[in-house]
Amino acid sequence: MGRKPQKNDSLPGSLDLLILKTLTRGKFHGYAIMQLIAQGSGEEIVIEEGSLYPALQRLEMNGWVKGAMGLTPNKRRARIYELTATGRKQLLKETERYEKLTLAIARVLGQE
Amino acid sequence: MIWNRIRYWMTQGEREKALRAEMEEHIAELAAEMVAEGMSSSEAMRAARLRFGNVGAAQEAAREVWIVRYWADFWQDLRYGLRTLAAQPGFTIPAVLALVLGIGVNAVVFNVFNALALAPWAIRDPQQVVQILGQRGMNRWGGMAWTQFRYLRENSKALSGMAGFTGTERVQVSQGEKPWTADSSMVSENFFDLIGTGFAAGRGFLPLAADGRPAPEVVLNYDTWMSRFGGDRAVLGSWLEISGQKMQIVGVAAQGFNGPVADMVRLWIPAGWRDVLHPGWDSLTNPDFCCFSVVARLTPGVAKEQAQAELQTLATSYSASIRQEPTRLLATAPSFLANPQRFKQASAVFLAMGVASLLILLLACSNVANLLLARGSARAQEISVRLSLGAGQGRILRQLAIESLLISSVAATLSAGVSTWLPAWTVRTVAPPEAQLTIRFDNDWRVLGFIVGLSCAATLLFGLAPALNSVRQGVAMGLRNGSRSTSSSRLRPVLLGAQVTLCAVLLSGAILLARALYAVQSMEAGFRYDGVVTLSTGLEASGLNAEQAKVLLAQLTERVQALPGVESVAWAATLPLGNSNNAAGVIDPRSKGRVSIAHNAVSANFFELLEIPIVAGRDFSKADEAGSNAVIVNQATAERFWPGENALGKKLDLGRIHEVVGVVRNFETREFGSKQNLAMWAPSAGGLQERLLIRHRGEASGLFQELPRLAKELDQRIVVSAAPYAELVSNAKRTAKIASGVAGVLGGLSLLLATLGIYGVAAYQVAQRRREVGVRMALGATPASILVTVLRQNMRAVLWGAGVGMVAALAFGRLLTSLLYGVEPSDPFALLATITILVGVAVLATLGPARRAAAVDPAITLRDA
Repeated sequence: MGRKPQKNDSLPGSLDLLILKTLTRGKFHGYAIMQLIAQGSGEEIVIEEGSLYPALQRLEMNGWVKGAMGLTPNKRRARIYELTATGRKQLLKETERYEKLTLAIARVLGQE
Repeated sequence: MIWNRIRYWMTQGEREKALRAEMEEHIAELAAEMVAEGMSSSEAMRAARLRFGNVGAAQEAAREVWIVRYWADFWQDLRYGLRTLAAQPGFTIPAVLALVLGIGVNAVVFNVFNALALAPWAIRDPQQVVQILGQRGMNRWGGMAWTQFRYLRENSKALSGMAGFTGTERVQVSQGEKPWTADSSMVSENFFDLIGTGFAAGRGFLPLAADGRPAPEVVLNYDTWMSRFGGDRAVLGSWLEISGQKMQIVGVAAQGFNGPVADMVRLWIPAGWRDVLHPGWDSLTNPDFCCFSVVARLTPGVAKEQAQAELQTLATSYSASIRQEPTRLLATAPSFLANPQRFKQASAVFLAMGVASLLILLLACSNVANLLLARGSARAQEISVRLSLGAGQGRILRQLAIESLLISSVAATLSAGVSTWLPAWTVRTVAPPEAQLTIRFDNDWRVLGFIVGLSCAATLLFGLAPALNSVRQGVAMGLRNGSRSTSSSRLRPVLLGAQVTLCAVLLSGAILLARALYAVQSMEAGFRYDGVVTLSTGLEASGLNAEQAKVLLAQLTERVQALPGVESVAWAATLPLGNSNNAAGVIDPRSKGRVSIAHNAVSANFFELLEIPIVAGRDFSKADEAGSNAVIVNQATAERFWPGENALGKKLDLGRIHEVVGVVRNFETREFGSKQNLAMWAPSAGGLQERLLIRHRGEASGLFQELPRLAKELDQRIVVSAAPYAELVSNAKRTAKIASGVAGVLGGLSLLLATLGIYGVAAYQVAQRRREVGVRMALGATPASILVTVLRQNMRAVLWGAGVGMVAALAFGRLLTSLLYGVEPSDPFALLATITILVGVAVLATLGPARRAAAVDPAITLRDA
């Protein structure tokens, strides 16, 4: 299954990684995930809503996250996402891959 | 992945709603945040929406993750598959043809079975309709007496309507001019109301009059209306003379309607006229009469079983009222083979045909698998390139699966055409013109479903293993960089062996049936029929009574006798090998039980004319015709009733006591194979049924012109139809001929498929081993030893296949038993011939490629490979 490049994916797979990582901290709905990523990155990374939901769908299709209707902290009904066991494994894999990649990029940049 | 996706499809609607709600919620929270920062709520909502962008577009993008990509890939694969197949006609055409053969044969068999057993008759709302059968004897099911039908119809609550009808019966029709004979069906007056398929013109029958008699009315078949009356509406209301009765045409049945009767029905007549049209018959009042078939409509909400239970209760009280043993009734589906007796007879044929055609499909599948394997090796290069460019193995598998599906869907479409065309064509060309069958072989949903299901199963069967193999090969090739893979060599001998097995079964079956055909062709009738013309008088449908008919027959005989070239004239109630006879119940003098015996009434010179020798006692004399209790039996009867005794002078109890005056040599009575059946002959002075047998010298063509003229002169009501006796005899051989002919064609086709299969495997193996052969030759192997190696490799699989095939063939032979005339199912000749032909074909098919391998110059092979 080929993957469509996402607008925010300055590095391939980074959006997935961010979402998965965020979900290790608990169950959240889409808005909260966006907020958490923004806060966590010191407002450096702002996820476009247009890519967040397709990404969530993709993660769910792959079985890495599981969504179910529930109540947000504001007592509103929304879909709450949760990391699955395979999602946890995927996160480890993605992290490793990502570290390798950034290391490689750093090396290339450091060559100058 | 696949399961996730399927689950997604199933819950799509819900999911879309959830996604939409989720996004709306997101926007609301954004807006709430902005309000907290001091914006007005309407402004905040607008801003939030702007920031979120187009909700629809986002939703679309989210959905794309699941669907679009998949379908886009699918179309791409489909187009690619079509291109590949079109570019390789050398692969595509044989593959499609093999499958058309395999699927087509099955579709034809199923279509015929469907038309006879599954598809209901052309009746409005057939799911509410049942046919009601009465038991007649041990495993025989048929119609019922008119009196019983009337009783059931008046008293049943479970049935909202009930109609009776007879099979076709000859009547004479005239409208002032020369009469013609027509096959009619005598039906209860509510027949057309119950069937409910409407009329092309006019109406159905009026209800019964107060005195219980139907109006003198007829309804025409649409085709008859067209051919006899030019489709003229003016005939409605006009009067016909039918077997001496004036009757009015009141309607024309809807086009194509023939009722629940297999033979063509020219006109329908209210059953109340049956005994009027046939003087002396008592079918409407006789409680023992067997033959009114019954269809009925269930009262809404009543199940078939309930109706049957109610009818059984009614039938029991009816039988009690006339002091008769109650008949068992059966309410069953409205189709021809719903009659358990007919089903039993037909199921043997369908089982044999079904097994044979499934075997042919398997054979075709293994051939296509073979082609795919060979092609797969050729495509390994392409597949390995695609794999190394990043295509997933699943994607490649899907690509191959789509190609297989394309092949089988083309084959399925063609097979659907074959399945309607072939049975109709066969019925048109093979069935005798006088027995026009009206069964329709449309592809209804059952047949189409069968074809689709079978094609899918076939696709899996021929496509799966080669596809997996191809992918494996592609992977291996990527690793090994162009070296030949041998991973398919395990699959190929198995395929080869399986093909030989299948072919052995089909071939031995075909040989058995071909032998049966030969046996039938050379079967002796036991009497001399060449130089004899048969003539039926049509008097049974003329409305005359037996006495009048006797006088006319005697006059006719006298005049025919006087024709030039005529040597002698005899008559008989039924003709030997004419596929009909009268049966009578006789008390077996040994067991004292009642057994059925073929009964024929003949003139005094009958045996003499057909040159049937009297082995004991005397022939009939003219005096016997006038009335006597003398009968003649065949040897089979004499031996069974009075073994080791002199049959002459013995008594036969048929209700009346008869005395045996002579014994004739056994000869075929009703049909081929009936020589050994019990048979007796009584003297007859002529009557309504009697047919003439005319022995003549020289050409009969003059007779065929003379006879109708002579009959017309004598009496308008005699409608002669004359035919050489030889024609009747060849008709009697027809069933066996058709069965054997079909088997011969199927056997030939399966042999062809198997030959191609063996050749394909051998050729491929040799091609694959070219390098090895080159090396061996370079190391000093002789061409002869190479030949032996290649042969030996294939022969092991062939012999295994043939061995297993023999065992299976024996089992298949038993299935065919009912179709084999005069041949044992385990006929050693057939088995031996099968082995010889198969092994011979296998050797020949292997020899060509093997010789080519041996002829290769090792230097060339080693350089090329």
